[in-house]
Amino acid sequence: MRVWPLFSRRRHDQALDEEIEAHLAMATRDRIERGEDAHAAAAATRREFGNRTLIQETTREMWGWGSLEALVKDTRYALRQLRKAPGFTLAAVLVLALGVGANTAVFSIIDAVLLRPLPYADSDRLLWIGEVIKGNTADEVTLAPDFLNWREQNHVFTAMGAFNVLTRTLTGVAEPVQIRTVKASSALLPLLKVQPLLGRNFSQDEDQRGHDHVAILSYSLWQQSFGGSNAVIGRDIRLDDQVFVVIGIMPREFHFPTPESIELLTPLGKNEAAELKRSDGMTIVHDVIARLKPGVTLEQARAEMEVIQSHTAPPSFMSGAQITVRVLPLRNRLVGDVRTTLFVLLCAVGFLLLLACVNVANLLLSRAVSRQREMAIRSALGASRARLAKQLLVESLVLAALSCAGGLALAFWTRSILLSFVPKGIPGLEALPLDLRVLGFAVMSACVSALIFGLGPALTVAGAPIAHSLSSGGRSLIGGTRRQLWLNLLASAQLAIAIVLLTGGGLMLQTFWNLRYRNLGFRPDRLLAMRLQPSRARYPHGAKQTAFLDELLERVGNLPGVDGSAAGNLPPGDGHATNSFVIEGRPELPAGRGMIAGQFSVSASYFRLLDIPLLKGRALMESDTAATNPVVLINDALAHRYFHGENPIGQSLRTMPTDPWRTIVGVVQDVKNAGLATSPEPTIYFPYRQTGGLGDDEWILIRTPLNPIALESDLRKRVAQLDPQQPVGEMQTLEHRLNESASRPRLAAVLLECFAALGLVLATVGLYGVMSFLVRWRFSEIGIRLAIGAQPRDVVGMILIQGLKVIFAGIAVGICCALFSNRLIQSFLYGVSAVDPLTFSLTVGFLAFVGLVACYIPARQASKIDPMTTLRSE
Amino acid sequence: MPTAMAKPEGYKNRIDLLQGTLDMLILQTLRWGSQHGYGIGQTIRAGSGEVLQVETGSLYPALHRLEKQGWIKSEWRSSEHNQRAKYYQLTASGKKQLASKYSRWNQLSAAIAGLMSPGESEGQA
Repeated sequence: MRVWPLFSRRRHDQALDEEIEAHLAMATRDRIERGEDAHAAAAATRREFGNRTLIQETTREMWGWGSLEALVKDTRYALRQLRKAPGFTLAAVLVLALGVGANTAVFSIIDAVLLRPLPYADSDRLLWIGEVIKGNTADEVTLAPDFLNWREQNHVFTAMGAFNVLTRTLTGVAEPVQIRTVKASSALLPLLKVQPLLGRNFSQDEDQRGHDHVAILSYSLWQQSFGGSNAVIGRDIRLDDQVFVVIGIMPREFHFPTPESIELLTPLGKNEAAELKRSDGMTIVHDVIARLKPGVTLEQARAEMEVIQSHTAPPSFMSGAQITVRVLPLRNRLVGDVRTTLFVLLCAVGFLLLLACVNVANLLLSRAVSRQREMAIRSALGASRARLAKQLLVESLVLAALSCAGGLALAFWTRSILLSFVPKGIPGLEALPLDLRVLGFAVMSACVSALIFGLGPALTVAGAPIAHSLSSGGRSLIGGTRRQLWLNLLASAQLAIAIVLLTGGGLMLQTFWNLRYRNLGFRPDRLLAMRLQPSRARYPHGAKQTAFLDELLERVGNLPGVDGSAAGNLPPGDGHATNSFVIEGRPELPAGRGMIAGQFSVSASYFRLLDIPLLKGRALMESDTAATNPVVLINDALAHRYFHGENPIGQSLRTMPTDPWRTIVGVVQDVKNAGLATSPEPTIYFPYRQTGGLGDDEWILIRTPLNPIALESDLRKRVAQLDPQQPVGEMQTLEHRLNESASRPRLAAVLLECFAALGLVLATVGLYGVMSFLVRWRFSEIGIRLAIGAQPRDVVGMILIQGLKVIFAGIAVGICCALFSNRLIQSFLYGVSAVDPLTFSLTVGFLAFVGLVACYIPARQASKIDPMTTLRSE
Repeated sequence: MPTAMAKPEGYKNRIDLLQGTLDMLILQTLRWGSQHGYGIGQTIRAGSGEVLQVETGSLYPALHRLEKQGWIKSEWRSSEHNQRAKYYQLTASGKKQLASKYSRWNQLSAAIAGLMSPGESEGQA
C-alpha cells in the first residue's frame, strides 16, 4: 500500500465533505427552482441523500485505507481495554514475556553457535576429515601417510591441510611460558583464506622435517610477549629449547579452527618420503581440513574419500584394526554435540512457551466471559462477528507485542548468565549479539503465540449466539459445553507439558549429579593443580629430573598452608590415552589385540593426597627408587579385565620389550581418568623415581585447607626459587576442572531445571485458574444442588472427580509424550535411564498432588456458596 | 481490501448487485462530457425515464472506485450557478472499459432475454 494517502488523508476527507455539500446544495437549488419552500427543500434533500456518515464511510473505504485505519482503531481500542484490566494485562504479559524471553535467549545461543558462519571466507565449503581407527579402542586420529595419500589422489578438494595441537614451552622471553601451539601444513592458512597480518605464511618446503624451524605468532602472543613490535619478524625464539625464526603474525580476529585458542603455529614438519613407506615410524595428525572444489557436494567428497581409502590397507603393525574415514562439515566438528544440547533446550523452551500460551488462552477465555455483554452490545449495534473476532485477535497481537518487548529485555538480561554455562571454546560464543535474526525470532514466536492463544477466544466469539447472551442478562455462559471442553483440554495440556519438562529436567539433574559427584574415585575438594613440565633440556628423564621433582615436591609441600604435595596425572582427563603392555608369563598377543592401559608416573604421595583407596597389597613408598626392585600399582579395572579373579599381586608386567619387568605390589580403586562420562579404564601407576620423570600431561598437586587459588603466587615463587628458568603453566582447582568437564550436562541440567521450575509454576497457576473458572461457572448449578439438599461434602467430591478426570487425562498424555521426548536426551544421560521409574513416579505424584490442591481450593469455595444468593442473582 | 465495517447487511447487498451495471451507466453518462456527482445521478434518472434511481450511497463509492481505478478523473470547477463542484471526466482507459462493459452487458441481456422468453428460442431452433 502506498504511504502518501495517510498524510493527505485529512485533505481527502475535506474534499469528500465538500463534494457532498455541493451535491446537497445543487439538489436543494433544483427543488427550490421547482417551487418548494427553502426550508422544506433542504430537509427533503437530506432525507433523499440518506445516511451521510455511512455514505462517507463507504466511499472512504474505496480509497483502500480502510483496513489500515481499522487496525489503528483496533489497536487503540485494545490498548484502552488492556489498561482497564491491569491485573489481567500484567499477568498475561509477564507469563508470555517469560516464554518469549526464554525462547529468544536459547535461540540467540543457537544463532551464535549453529547459524552464524565460521569466521573464515566461504566457511560452508570447509570440511573436517579424520580416520576412526577401531582396534582395542576407537581412536580419532589420522595416519600421516593416509593424509598424504588423500592430498595426492583426491579430485574433489582445492586444498587439504593437517595440523597437530601440542603444548610447548616458549623461553627467551621475559618470563618462560607454556603455550598451546599447532604444527600446521603450509596449505592450511591459504585454505582458510587467511593471510598473516605481518610477514608471510609457511612455504611448501618448510612442511618438510628439518626445514620446519619457523613460527607464526598469534596476535595476542605478539602483544603480550613481544610488545607488539614489528622487529620480532626474523627474530629467533626458543620453543622447547629449539630455535625457531619468527616469520609472521596472525591478524587479531583470527581464531584457529580448534576449540581452544592457539598462540603459535609452526609447520607440520613431516618426513613425507619416509611416511609414505608406511613403516613402523609412521606418525599421526590429529585433524585434517579441506576445502571443497566449487560444485562438489559433501556426498561426492565422501564417496571419493572412501574410494581412495579402499585402496589403502592398514599398516602391518595394526593388522587387527579397522579404519574408516569420517568427512564432516568443519562447523559440525567444532560445534560437536552442543547441537543436540541446544536442540533439546529449544524443545524445552518451546514447551515452556506453549505452556505460557495455554495460560494466557485461559486468562483470555475467562476474560471473554466477563466481556460477553460488551460483545453482545457491540454486535447489536451492527458489528459483524468477523469484526469482533478481528478485534479480539488484535488485542492478542497487542498483548504479544508487549510481551515480545518484555521477552527481549529478559533475553538481553539473562544472556550473560547463559553464556557462563556454555562450554568454553565454541567459536562464535565470545559474545551473543542480539542481531536481526534473534529479533525476528522473538517477534515471530510472539506472533505465533498470539495466534495460538488468541484464536480460541476469537473463534468462540465468532461462533457464539449473541442475542442469547443479551436476553439472558449476560449471566449464563455462551457455548457452554464446548467451552468447558476447551478449558478441560487446556488444563490437561498444561499438566502434560509440565510432566515432559519436569521428567526431562529431573533426568538431566541426576545425570549432572552422577557425573560431577558420583564415583569420581578421589576427593576433589581443596586441591590445586599446577601444570609444570620439567624443562627437557636441563632435566632429561632420569636421575636429574627425579632429583628436581623430589626437591620441588618437598619445597612446595613445606609451604605454609599446604597439607601435602604430589605429582601425577590429573583426573578427570578429557579422553583415553592408553598404551599396550604385557604380563610376564602370558603369550604375547598380536599387535592391535594386546592389553592396553593408561600409564602414569606418579609420586608416592599421590594416592594419599587424592584419597584414592588402596584395595589390595601395599601402596607406593618413598623407598621405591631407581635403586630398588621396580614396582607398579594397578587399578581395579585392570585387575578385573586382565586378571579375571587371579591375584595380580606379585605378578609382573612391562610396557616395552626394552623395559624391565615390574612387580605389581598393589591394587587401587578406579578413578575417572578418561573423562567423567566414561567407565574407568585399566590404569598402571609407576613411581616416577623408577621411570625417571613425569609424562607429558602430568601435574603438581597440592591440598590445602585454604582457598587454593590464594596459594597460586606462593607456588610460583617457590618454583622460581628452585629454578628461575623453569616455566610454570596454568593452575586450576580440581573443583573448577570438574565443573568444566561436566559443563555440557551442567548447561543442559541447569537450564532444563529452570525451565522445568517455570513450567511447574505456570502449570500450577494455569490448572488452578482453569479449575476455579470451571467451578465459578457452575456456581448457580451448585447453588441449586445445595438448595435442594446436597451436602457440601458431595459438592467438593463432585468437583474433585471432575478435576481428577482432567488430571488423569493430562498425566496419561504427559507420560506418553515424556517417554517419547526423553529419548531425545538419552545420549546425554549418565547413570540414569531415560525411563527412570523414580523420576517418573515422583514427577507424576507431585503434579497429581498439585493438581488436586488446585481443584480442592475452588471446590471448597463452591461448597460454601450461599444457595439463596446465587439463585437470587441469576 | 474493504473491511467488513459495521453496516446493515441489506445495504451492502444493493451495492454489490448494482455495481457492474452502475459503473457502465456512469461511464456512459460521462461520454457526453464532464459532470459532477449530482448531475450524473440526475442524468441517469432522466435518461431512464425516472426508472433508475441511483442511490447516493452507491453513486459516490462507485465514483471514487472508478477514479481510483483510473477510468475517470476529476477536477474542481464552478457550475453555471457558481457552485463549486467536483467534475468527473472519462479517461482513455475508461473509454475502453466502457466498450468492454457494454459488450458484456449486451451478451448478458441477450442471454437473459433468451432465458426469459423460451418460446421464441424454441421457435428459432
